[in-house]
Amino acid sequence: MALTVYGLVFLLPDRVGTVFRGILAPIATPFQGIASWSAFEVRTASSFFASIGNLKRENERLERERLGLFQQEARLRELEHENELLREALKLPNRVGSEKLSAEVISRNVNGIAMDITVNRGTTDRVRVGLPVVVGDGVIIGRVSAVHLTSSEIRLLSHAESTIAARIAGTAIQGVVRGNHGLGLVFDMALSDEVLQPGAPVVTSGLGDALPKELSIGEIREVRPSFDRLFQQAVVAVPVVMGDIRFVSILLTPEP
Amino acid sequence: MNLFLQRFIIFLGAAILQRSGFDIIWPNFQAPAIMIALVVSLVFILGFEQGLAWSLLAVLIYSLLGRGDLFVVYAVVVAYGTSFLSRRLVIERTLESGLVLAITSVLFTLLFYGVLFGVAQETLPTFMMMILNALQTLLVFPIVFILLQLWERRVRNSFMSQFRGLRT
Repeated sequence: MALTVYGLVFLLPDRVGTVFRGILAPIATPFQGIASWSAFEVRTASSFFASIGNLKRENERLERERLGLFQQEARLRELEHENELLREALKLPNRVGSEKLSAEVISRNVNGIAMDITVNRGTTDRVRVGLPVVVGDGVIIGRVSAVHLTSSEIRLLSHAESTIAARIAGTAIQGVVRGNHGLGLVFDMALSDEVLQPGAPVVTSGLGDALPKELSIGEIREVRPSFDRLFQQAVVAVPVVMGDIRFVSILLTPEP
Repeated sequence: MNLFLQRFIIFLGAAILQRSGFDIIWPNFQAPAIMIALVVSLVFILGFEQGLAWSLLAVLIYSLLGRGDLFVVYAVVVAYGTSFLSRRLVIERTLESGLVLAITSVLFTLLFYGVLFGVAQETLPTFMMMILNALQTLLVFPIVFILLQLWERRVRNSFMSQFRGLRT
């Protein structure tokens, strides 16, 4: 009897699994919220104690970064102002910003190295499959892969089946960013005559799928030719540690 | 409360603790320590047939809270392995049996990495992570085992007291 039920659920995971998942998710979400909150607090406390020794070095590094960012911000403000003036002069429409919906991670999947997470927002919060998920000011980390009443599953970019259209910021170099079996990201399909500079920022290109353009993905690290030597590939270093993500924002982009 | 509902709540609690507790604190551990300990304990305490049936319910709940289809299959292997071993263990000698079962749980944790690598072709974490994950199972197992045994004893006693109340 048990084996029959098990076989039925396991052999028809999409049909039966989705129904059961839909029933179980709203019951479990509040308890998952409490458990994940406690777990994150424990994790934060333990990493704090572990990092006391590194605080001085970290502080110096952050101070250097702060000064660098201060200069960068001033430059960006200037460019933004200039951009507005030029747009006005050329009569170009303003970019439409997407509405952000903040969400908290309530569980993580162990199959693979943290390639799927669950957050506490669902259909009641207007979440749909395919919506981009970002952290901070606009660093894309994944997309919504399944939605339940009060929770959603996010497939991280590092998942082996994740692929998004991308380009190198400030250039016309186009490619795709795909997951590298949970280990990180790879910028792929760049033409072999294009120059990929280590340290160059990678952003979404907005081509091919419903993602907004210019969401930050990471930066180029090691460049190598593809397996068939027709294209170039590069390892993309992401600015966030996937295992540390606690709060995310879902971009409620309009339906295509 | 109905026995099924009681067990469902316990299994749901264990699955939530695994998914939203352990997997967040230790995101690099891929073998679910609580679930492995739960399956081994259930099969040892309830016997193979009952233990397998309840284990399947537990892992299905675990699977429904996220994605873990491979572990659903692996749980059957864990149940069979535990059953095979428990027939050779003397239940009265709880300490020795418990120790052997704890070591078995550790081996099942390490074997899960082999399955992840061999069947699902997942990228494995470092060897140290696997050892720490196995150590986690070793620490979790006695807690799960003792709690489950106490709870099962309570359920059995409540059934017995119901029978004692019957007039023939």
